[in-house]
Amino acid sequence: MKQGLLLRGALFGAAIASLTLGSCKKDKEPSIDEPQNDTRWITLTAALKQTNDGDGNGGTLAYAISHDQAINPAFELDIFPVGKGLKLESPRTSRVQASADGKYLYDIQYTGADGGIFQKFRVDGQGKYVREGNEVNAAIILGTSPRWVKSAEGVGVGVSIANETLYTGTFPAVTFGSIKSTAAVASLNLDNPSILNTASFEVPFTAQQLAQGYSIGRIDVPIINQAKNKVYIGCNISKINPIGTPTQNATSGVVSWPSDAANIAGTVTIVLDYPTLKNPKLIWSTQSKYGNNGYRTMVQHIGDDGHVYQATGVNTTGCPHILRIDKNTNDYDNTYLFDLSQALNVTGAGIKAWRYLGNNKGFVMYDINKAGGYLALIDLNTKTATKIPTEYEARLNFDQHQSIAVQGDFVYVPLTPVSEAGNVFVYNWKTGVLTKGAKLANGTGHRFIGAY
Amino acid sequence: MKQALLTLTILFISCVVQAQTGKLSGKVSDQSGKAVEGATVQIKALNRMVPTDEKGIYELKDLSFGEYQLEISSIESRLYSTKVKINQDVVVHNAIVAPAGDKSLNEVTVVEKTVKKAMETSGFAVAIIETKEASLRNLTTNELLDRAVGVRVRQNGGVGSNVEYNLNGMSGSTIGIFIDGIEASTYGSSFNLNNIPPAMIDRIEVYKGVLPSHLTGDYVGGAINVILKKDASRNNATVAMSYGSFNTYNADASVIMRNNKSGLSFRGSGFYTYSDNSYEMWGKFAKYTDRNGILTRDFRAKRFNDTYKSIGGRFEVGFTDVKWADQFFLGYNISDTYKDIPHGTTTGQPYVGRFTEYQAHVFSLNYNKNNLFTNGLALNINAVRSSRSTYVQDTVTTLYNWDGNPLILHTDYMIEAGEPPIIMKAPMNGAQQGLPTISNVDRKIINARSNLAYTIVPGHRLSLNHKFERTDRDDTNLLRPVNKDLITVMEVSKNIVSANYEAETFGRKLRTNAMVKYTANNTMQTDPKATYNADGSYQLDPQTSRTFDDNFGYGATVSYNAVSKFYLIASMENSYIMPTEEQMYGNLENNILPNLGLRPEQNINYNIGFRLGILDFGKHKISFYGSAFWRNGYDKVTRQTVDSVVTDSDLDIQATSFVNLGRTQSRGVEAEVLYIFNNRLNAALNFSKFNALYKRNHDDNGVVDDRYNLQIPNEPFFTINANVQYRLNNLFQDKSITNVYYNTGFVGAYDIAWHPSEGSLTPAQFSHDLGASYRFPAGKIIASLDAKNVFNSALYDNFGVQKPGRGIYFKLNYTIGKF
Repeated sequence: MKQGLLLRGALFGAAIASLTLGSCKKDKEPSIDEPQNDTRWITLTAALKQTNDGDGNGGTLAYAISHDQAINPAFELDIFPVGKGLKLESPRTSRVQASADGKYLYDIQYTGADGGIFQKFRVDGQGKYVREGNEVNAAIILGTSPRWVKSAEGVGVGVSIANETLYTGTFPAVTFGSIKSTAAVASLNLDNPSILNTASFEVPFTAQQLAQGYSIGRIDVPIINQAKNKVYIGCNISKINPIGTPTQNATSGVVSWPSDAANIAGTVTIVLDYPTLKNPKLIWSTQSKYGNNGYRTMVQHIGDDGHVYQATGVNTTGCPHILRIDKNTNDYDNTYLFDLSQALNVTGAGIKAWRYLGNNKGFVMYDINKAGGYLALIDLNTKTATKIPTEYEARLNFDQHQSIAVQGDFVYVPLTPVSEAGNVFVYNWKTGVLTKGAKLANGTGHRFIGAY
Repeated sequence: MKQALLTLTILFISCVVQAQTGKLSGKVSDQSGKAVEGATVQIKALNRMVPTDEKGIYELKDLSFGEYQLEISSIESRLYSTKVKINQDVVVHNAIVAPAGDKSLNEVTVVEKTVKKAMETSGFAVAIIETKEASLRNLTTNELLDRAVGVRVRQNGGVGSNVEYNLNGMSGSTIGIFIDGIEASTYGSSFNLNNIPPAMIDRIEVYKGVLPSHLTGDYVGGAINVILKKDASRNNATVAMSYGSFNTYNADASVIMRNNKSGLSFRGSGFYTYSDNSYEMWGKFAKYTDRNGILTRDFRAKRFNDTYKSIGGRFEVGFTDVKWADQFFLGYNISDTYKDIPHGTTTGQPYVGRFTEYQAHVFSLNYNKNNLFTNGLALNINAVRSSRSTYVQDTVTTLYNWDGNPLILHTDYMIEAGEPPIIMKAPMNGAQQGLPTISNVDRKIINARSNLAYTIVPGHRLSLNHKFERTDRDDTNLLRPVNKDLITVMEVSKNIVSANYEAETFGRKLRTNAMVKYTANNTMQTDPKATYNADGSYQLDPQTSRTFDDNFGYGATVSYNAVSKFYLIASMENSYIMPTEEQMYGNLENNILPNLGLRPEQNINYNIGFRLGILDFGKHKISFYGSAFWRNGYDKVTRQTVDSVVTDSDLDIQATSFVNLGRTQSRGVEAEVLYIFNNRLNAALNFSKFNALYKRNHDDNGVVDDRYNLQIPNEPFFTINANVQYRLNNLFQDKSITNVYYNTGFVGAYDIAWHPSEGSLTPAQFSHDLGASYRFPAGKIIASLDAKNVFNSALYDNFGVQKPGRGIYFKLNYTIGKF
């Protein structure tokens, strides 16, 4: 709370300062173009089309606006003219992260000539982004399409995983053994960009779980806990039926068994020691049965109570669940479940992105039966939710949404249906007032996917 | 097929009244009265050619009555040319030829220009590239092509790397690459334009847009047809060897023998190419990763993993100029290539230990006969059966840096924590690219083309073409064997029938050519439909499904000789092309992923242009060529960086796949000026500039698409080439000939992404090459020296892969005249 007030004060001060500076500028020498360090810039990102409308494979554009611009419905913004914003060099939408104060963007390119390469940008407002520090080659650990997030201020963690099915016999006379899931983790220093540490390990399923056909197909969204001694890595758990009829891929020769997703016992998270990245453990929750690895957005957040709140099913199904990992045990609180469908009294709600705000409140972007794009304010304690209606909600799609910006009492989300113009929406989560702010122009096939 | 031909033949025989023919014979001797042996006597209009025997005697039978241009050429004499009239059963024409002087070479060149010219003014947008001179120099066939007007050879690295041809903005499968009218893919990667030396080639025809009927196929962008040397008129042998930068050496040899009595002929040729491709890269795409994972760009690195070696031979035995055939040859072509794959589609990460091997055994039959059964009926059959294999291996899991050493991570944190350094392995159980692989693909290809042409009356010719192609592909996974009983098998065969009608009217001033084309594709897919028993055994119940797809196309060309030496040429075409096997099913060794959803693309092309010259002003000769083209592509098949790896289990592969890019349009112009001074200086300048535009105007909701009319990324759209050659006689030694060359090429900057930014721009490129060749007085030895990219510019190509810097090459050619 106190922090919120302070920030609000700072923001207000910044607004005044920028106005004053702005008005002074005319009197001063025109050559002075000082970085306005006291402005809290809000970076908006848009995913460009490559081949098909909305595919987001043409790279990412970034452009920073101020709070005043964001809340001003008369402010019109078109970031698509060439050279206006920052084009993040990546054939596909790269995973962009930012420092909490919005002063730096962190990016690892996704596929292409520089796939897996980390870059840091200082945010100087509008289209002014200045590359700072080293570029880091994370591809050597994470591959050229890495899964990573900012896991704590100043630290990024990237992860990758590979599976190998072990069996005996020659196809089709084969007997299932187990699926070996081998994970790799890299921690990155975001302040002075470099690799900090790396580790590779086999996911510690028990022999019995392995024989039952459990494996992890993808890991993502690592978060460093409040005590800064553990990393929780979200996992997409899967299970095959070891007594089902196997098939063989005619090209790769890989033998696989049919999925047995219906009989998955719960969801799992990998817990590692930090910063050693050693001692992998697997923790289970039986409250939700879907992966908790997110898709393009962070789904684990630390609450004011120090526990980690984790959404499940974001990738595959759009699941309404949020789980809790206890800060004292570093294990699931298996009694805790937040269910968005229940809270909203709807069916088929799926969390696509969310952010913890403070005071047990969270801001959720969700869809209903995999359609539309809706906003809600949730309370993790009372397990209630309030829908925040917008005029675009039926035409939106949050599949690629990456980030929700929060500053003080305000939540910022740019909403544009694919190919259509939209607005920055600014939500005061204390007062519940939604402002339809700056107008966003759009181009064919593009859409906005984040605010930082 | 056979039946159709037979029916047609009978049809022609029964319809056509026997025309009158006569025999032309005579003796060729020099000014001292000595018989000239091995001179070539030909009537170009009839495509007839015979050599003189040891007594200087020649004989051309079955010539229709009429007037012809008779040409006699030999290495010892100047070109002899005269008109002869065949108006009785036997016509005798004896010729006395002048000895070859210093100008003999030029004379030959001029003669060849007329062949070139005849084709270039036929209405097709065609350029003829002569290889005679290039064969004596350190030039590869691809380099030669890259200098031609409107041709851009996009090569992914050094010697032997993958090549894509771009003809005025059309590329990929829309371009047909032929060797003697048969798709080059039939011969496989071990015998292609990368390794066929210019010495084996007679000429290269580059068609832009509309194709003549003997090259019909699924091509609308044009074609490159490599005509291998056919001449078997006299015994001779040549050998050539070259060595140059980056440890590159080439050797080629050829021998031609003919028994003048029986007509039995043998042609043999072979080549060997080796290169380490160890050139330096220093551009923005070369990277180095240090022990903290920190990246250095612009890293100066020598390519250390790019060996290429290729060996091949072609042996043909048969008869020339015998009663039953003008040419009948049976041939065998063998080739073998080893090639390292040094990196993916970009140079981001070097690959070590990923390589491919190609091998091909090709048997061919070639038959042609003019005046078959009746005058004016010509049959040409070209059939090839190929058995080729491609092997790819990639099992090394260690990652390397561009300095040639394994990539080692030992971060400050690790050192502080007392952890040992880590030799990095490819992420996710991978090898250099994707999962470890050892695979072999065997292809058995039958490709046959037959052409039956009939000259109804002089100036009116009707021809019928048939092409049949079938490919059987057999993939073997040697690392994880797959039970082939259980694999779904696909077989694709293709038939193309085309007919065209050529006419020369208005006193031979107007030449027209109209054609129609029918393409039929058959696919047969056999699904084994296995059912498994509890003990792991299985039963098969194969289900075969067939698909049939056909389409129809048409085109026309016009050439009008408006005033002396000025020709207006125009052509148009409307046709479909099917996606190739590679585009649909992918190709691991070329980093291409499958896309089974590809649709055929339709193209409507127009070309209009002119040719002027050669204008002769005494010592100055000059000619001009200019052409404009307008091409409309629908569902154009285009190569695009990968975006298909989205499932959890897929590895991140640096690869591309082919996609349909909606409607496209390419409009542009190309032009060329040739200038000759005093038969000593030759200069040529050409340029090509086009706009390849995105043409979808509305999205699915009917809203205007803001990319409408934008330039499609990753197409070099502006190129200029210039070259100058100067000949010096009697330098150092009497009767020696020295040629010096200069060549420059410019490629305008182009972007590789839709939304341009600094990082995605491929910069403008300028290259300069110098060369000299020296012909020793005896005329048997020619030595040449070439310096390529003399200013060591950073040249880029596909996806920013840097090409070789400065290189010096030396070559020796030795000709053994007659024996």
